[in-house]
Amino acid sequence: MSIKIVLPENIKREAISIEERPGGWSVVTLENGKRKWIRVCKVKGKTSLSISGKLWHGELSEFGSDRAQSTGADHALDVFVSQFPGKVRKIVSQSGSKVKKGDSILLLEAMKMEFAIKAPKDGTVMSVLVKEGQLVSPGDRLVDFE
Amino acid sequence: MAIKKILVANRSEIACRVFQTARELGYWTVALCAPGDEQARHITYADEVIRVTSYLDHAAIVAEAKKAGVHAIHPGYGFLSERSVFVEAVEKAGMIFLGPTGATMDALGGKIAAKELAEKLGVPTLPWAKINVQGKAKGTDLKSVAQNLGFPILLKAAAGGGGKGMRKVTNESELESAAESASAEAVSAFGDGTLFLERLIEKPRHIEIQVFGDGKGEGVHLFERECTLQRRHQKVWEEAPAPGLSEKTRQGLYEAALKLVRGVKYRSAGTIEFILDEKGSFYFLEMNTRLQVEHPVTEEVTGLDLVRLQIELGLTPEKFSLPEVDAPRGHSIEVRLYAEDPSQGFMPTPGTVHSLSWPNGTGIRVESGIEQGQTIGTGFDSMLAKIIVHAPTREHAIDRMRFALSQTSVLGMGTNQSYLFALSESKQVRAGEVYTSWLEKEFEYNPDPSKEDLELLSQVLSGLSGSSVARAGLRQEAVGSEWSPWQKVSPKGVV
Repeated sequence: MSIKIVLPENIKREAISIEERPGGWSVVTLENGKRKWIRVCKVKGKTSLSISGKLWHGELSEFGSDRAQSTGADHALDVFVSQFPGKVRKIVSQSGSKVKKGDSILLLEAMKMEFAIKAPKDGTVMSVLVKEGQLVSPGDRLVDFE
Repeated sequence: MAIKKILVANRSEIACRVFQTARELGYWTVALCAPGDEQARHITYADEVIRVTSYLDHAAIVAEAKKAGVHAIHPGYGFLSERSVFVEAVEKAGMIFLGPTGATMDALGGKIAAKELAEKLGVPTLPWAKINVQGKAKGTDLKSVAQNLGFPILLKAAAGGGGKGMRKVTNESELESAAESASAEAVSAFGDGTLFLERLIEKPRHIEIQVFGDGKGEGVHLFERECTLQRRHQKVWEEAPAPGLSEKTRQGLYEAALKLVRGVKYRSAGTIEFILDEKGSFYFLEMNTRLQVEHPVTEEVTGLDLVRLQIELGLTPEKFSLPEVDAPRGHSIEVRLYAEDPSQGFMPTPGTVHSLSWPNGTGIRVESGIEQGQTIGTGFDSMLAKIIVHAPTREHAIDRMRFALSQTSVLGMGTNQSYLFALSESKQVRAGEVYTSWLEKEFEYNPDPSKEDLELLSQVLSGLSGSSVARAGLRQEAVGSEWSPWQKVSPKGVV
């Protein structure tokens, strides 16, 4: 689960302590004095956290930075861009077809699992940009949709 | 005397599992490595590695094994584990197959053949009927057969499973078109459009019995497992023993299982799957002629090592005797960690394991196929590891699973860990009030951070960035389901 937390400008200067410990653990002492042992991992600018069985991927940005000014829309998921390396198993809705929210447009395969790319709202599949059997990489655009 | 070699015709955590027992018994372990698995954990832990182009290339595997002087082959699960042609090739080459005979696999492999065999041996099966749909559906045949069975009905493909060629039919008018589309799907998936009709149970429980046979007509049951929590025909959470079964149902299941084991003179480990209706009546579903993914929960409650029994029966049969266990001890639960993100439609999330920490402690067991630094590719199954707990009672086992999951950390790629954690906290799971489609229909998994989560996260992140938080001024934006390190967000924004 990914969340974006923007730290405000008028912040108190007393730091919350964070201590790195052996074994790859970090311990954060919270405002109420309670300790939380966590694991932190930074990959390509994003911070991954494991806290008590829950996984979080956070983005740290200071209030007032360019990132913080951007609107929600720019950071929302584009369902028609491939998120993982896989293969186009089947094109369900052809170019030019009208679809309803939730209809499958195409099926991708990876890790022996099938994943359906579905219409996020009622609309038209303007163009399917890939062929059946084609290998796709993260970032490849799959469908033009309106 | 030369040490005997055992080859595992499989990969990942099951290969590591078999290696453990093989080593304990003093055997030499041989691994297979197909392209994409070069960094895999099972390759690190083998005495010898043989490269193959695929885990399914049975001819090459047998040839290479023979050349390497392998004595016995363990097939794991999936891949070639239930292919009689592989068993025959192994045995013809003079090696021992650590599993049932090819003839047994043929007898129990086809769904229709297995049902007919079960009925012959006096094992209850769901009311069913075979039909042959060729080209255009034979409307009248279908309808009269369906009427005899009673609705609702499940149309199933005779040649295979996994949900393909399967259709639910609630009334007569849906029958013909459902049969046509099911048959077409079956032809495309298995090359065979033959279907059969089966009475459908609305809220079934999936109970399976672990068995072990000596191949000579005797065998034992090793109690049951409950595998009701499934998603898209993939098991997620398994337990032993099954909660809330009447003694009558339990004994009935054990007797039915033994009838099958003795009737086919079953050899080695196997599992018989049953489906239970809401009244506790049980019906034979199918038999899996192999060791199963969830075998550890049976090992935990019986104290047995099933792989050791398989190896002993195969390699030192003169020393082998069937195990005797009076009753299961305590309760065990297993969860499967997959490389998928439930908050994004269970999308596959391969990647690199940048940081890894497994739970440990009393009653906690981990069967892992991954190591820190390993890159998980997309060519293979997405199961990463299994986390198993054992405790004196079911209540305690669920508490222990919750603890084990809270101590688990796999970072750098996506996993279903948070989903599993939510299951361990679910009241319905704790009460045992589940049925096979419960996960898809009723389980409310909310991946969004709660107010408490956000408070905690903002403090943790501010601690990491070296500055602190003024609660009043904190602004947070929960951004939908964005996660991937390699994601490129379109500049056009959401469509």
